[in-house]
Amino acid sequence: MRKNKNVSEKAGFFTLERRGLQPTNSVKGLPPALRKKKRYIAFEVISEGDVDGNKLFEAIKETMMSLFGELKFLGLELKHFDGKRGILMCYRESLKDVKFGLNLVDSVDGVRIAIRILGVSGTIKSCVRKFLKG
Amino acid sequence: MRPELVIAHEWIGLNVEVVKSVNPCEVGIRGKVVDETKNTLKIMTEKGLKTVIKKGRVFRVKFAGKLMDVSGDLINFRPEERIRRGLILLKRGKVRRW
Amino acid sequence: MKVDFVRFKPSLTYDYDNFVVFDENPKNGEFLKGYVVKARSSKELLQKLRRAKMDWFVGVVGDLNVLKYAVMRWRVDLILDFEGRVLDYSLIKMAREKDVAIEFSFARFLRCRGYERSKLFEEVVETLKVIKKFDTPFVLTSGAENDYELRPKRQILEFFEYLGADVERAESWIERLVRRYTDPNYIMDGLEIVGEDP
Repeated sequence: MRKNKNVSEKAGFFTLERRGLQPTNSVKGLPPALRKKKRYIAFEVISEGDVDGNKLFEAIKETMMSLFGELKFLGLELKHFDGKRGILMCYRESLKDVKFGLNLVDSVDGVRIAIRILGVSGTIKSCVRKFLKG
Repeated sequence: MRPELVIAHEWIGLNVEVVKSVNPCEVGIRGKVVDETKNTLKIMTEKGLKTVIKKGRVFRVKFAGKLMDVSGDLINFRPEERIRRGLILLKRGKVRRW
Repeated sequence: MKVDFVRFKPSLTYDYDNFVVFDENPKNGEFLKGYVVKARSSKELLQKLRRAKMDWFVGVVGDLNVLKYAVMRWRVDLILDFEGRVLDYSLIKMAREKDVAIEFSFARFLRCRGYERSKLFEEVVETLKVIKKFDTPFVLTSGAENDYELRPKRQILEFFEYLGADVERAESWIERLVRRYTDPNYIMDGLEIVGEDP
């Protein structure tokens, strides 16, 4: 009985700020545990001549859409592309799906290409260091 | 004699060593085969007579001037049946023939 | 051992150690030779099989009746993947008994789109289930006809793993198949030469 009393007394002190939570309109956004985990895929495009980054991303999106449809959230973003090599972002949960789909991208704007995956990393920085240097 | 004929040949008298086995105590047994049943080989080692089951073991054997690894599953027959069954294995299976 | 089965002479090699080039008339080259037997009847099949040299990989292309007949032949190593291949339950079972491998090629997925591709996915997934049941030999390859259909080995394995294939098993089958033609010390499963008798 006594214990319960203590707890109920203390409960009054636990305001939002004291528990480390931010008000909903904070600029900080979601707490780290709730944020979507991401993966960065370093890839290389094999084709004759250089490929336009925007058109490549269009082709990737089109393939993914026809494979997985609208309700599968892949979180695709093209982070970097220099004509040959680039970095593609996706969610951690959908990494296998994206790797599967990248195999099936075979043409950009009528030009035949093949995508070779160099590696996967957790941050852009280490992705560049591991796979795109040299 | 062609080395692959080892699976259709008499094993008594051959020098044998157990290389792979599910029973770790059996690995390393070496000696001369003195007797054979359908499922076992009886090997005379320096320490005495040892009986080793054929199934699931790999034997290293000296035959026709070669050292060979033979899976026990391939010789899991009675010795008198071996010539017939072994030749069938060699004839029907996908074997290198050159 | 990283080996791929293709239908042309590749200029890109990615991470492969070697290629098996399948052709109706195998030519000499730096790669291993494969022989495609295209047959419309069992008679034609036998005729063409007689031409096969000892160091050629032999793959068959044909309709269901021809394939059923081909599986029985000792010289046939694998059933190639081609447009419009039909496999049935009994054929896969027979392939296990006669030790004939079934090829799944990645390039077929690139040659079709939309509904057709979806059908193809279904067909491959269903076939892989039957193959798992009987433990039939199967190989996962790129089956490319030009450089753009070629992919690194890892990507192809990941692709088929997604569809439910047992990748490690496939690797052991392809290694066994290649060793039969390249390794002079390999005689058959569970029987190999380790060295000379001193």
